[in-house]
Amino acid sequence: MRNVLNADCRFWISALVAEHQGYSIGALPPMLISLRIRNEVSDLAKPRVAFFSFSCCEGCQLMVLNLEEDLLALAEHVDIVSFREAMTEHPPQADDYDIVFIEGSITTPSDLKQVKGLRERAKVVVALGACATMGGVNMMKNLIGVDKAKEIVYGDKAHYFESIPTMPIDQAVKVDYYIHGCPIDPDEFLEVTKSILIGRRPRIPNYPVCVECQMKENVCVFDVGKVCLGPITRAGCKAICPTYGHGCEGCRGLVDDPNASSHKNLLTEHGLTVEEAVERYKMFGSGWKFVI
Amino acid sequence: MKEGFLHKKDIGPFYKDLKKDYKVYRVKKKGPHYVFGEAPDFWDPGEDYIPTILPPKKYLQPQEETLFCMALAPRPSLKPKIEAPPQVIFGVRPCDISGISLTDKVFFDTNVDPYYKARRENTTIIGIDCLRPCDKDCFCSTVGSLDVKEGFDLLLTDIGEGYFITVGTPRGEKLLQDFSKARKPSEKEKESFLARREGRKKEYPYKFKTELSNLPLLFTSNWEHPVWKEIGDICLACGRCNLVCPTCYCFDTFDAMDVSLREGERRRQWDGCLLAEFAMIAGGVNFRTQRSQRLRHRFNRKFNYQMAKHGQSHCVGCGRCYRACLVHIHPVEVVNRLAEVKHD
Repeated sequence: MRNVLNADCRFWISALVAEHQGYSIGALPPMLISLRIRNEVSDLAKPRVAFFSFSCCEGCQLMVLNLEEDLLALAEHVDIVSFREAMTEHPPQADDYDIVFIEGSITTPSDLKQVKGLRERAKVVVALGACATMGGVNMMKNLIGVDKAKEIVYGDKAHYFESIPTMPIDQAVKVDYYIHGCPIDPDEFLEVTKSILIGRRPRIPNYPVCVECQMKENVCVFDVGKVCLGPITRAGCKAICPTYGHGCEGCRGLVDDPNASSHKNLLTEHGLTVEEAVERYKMFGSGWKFVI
Repeated sequence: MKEGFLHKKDIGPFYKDLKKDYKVYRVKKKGPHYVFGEAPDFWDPGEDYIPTILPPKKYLQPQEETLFCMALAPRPSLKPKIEAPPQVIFGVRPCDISGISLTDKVFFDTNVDPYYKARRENTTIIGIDCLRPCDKDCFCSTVGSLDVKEGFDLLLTDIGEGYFITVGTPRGEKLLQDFSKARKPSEKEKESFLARREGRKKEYPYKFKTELSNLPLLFTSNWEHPVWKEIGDICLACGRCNLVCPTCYCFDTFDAMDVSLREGERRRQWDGCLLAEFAMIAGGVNFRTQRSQRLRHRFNRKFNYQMAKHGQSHCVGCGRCYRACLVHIHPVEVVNRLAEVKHD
């Protein structure tokens, strides 16, 4: 039944999107196409999905759990084989996975070894949340320096712990999809997962938070004496922080082509020193390349 | 009745009457700004008004809307979805009335947009006239959108004791007839109306350093002017100018499957030509990668392409884009930079 559905679905979607720019089937990663073909020609089980966690608070997995009924609907299409945050019994590690969601950043040599192993056993790797997509708050360690950070955290026991400079997942292995944010937006998790399953490009904004904020007709936080990274930060969060009167902290990373120098001037025009403006970009590692 | 008069004490009851049959929106306060929204009673900021954060276009072409629903079972099907409840937008200023009538021209042109059409036909526009510029940044009279002749059903002009009402459509006329307290204006009231309309002219200085009708040619001949790079360097490409513009109507269309993967919707959402991927086409080719190109495009849309096509500036001079612009790009300054160019 499911195979028929998938075949139908593909015919359907391709007919609908034929006129639709930017969703060319040819643009999909080859592994996805093989995933789709496999489903079509055989009676193999549902795609095997797993969640793994490195250095992070596991809040993004919690956001997935918060999907509740939608998560059950999704489970009709996939087998969730490993999801520590959600499972009472932890099954042994499987040999291979169709889709692996990786949360957290790589901060130790053992992380690095594990993530490489996961990549070898996964058809599709999805970086889940700010720590995985761009290092997140863990990136602050790199600004302080690894040795200094170890000393601050572990004091005279520092030598017991191995630590390497923080890496987002794609610095260690190839990443196929990114779900941004601290924490992620559950709807975007669904958008990416559905897109992987039906074989199309997910719709991830490459416009700034200002767009979502303005569409909600929010009062601009700059108008009430605050500062905001919204003008250069990737949207997709539904402008949740400015909607509640707090300036954007940049947890989703910057848009692809940010005018960072003009934005820095904007922050200084609104009362920040250059150093304070740069500090803003450091918090989630979002403006990493502009800080270094 | 092509003209009417409504005493100020009767406008509250008029508003309440409308609420019985329509969804009624009016100007409300939001922080230091104004927005259109629902409210139990009539209120209007009068001369304190500055244009709302978003123009009333949000009721004619919502930020995001569903175009049709699709289902896979029992067999693939499409079902159009058009929602157009009867609504009244109360207290629309001349700049926004112009914006609506210009958008009408666009959506009712050769390809009629059924979604916009359904909403527009079910929408009553009751305008409130301006007698003074709302602030130093508006320039509605300069671009010819202060003296509106179409785009409204009723237009209320404050003449002291009450409102002189200009009727724009048969629908507006009927509304006025149905409200017993509206009456024909006296000769004196009509004189007072004409005197105020005449008197306001000196309040609105002409702000361009060139004739309005020169603009299409001016923009065409200044394709390579340095101002484009200058404003391109500071522009954040945040798209706020597009979103707050009464005459920006561009949208992006996309499909959204629900989590069952058996049903879904085609939706559209506001888009903006200042956004990086606006001009990206299949294959990832983008023919306006530079912010300067995108700004130039937007300005040409307002003062050249659309103006040449419809014979009217597609900037209505409300000043919203300047007020929203975090890096202070002002359309009047841009026009005047071009107008300063000396030609041999």
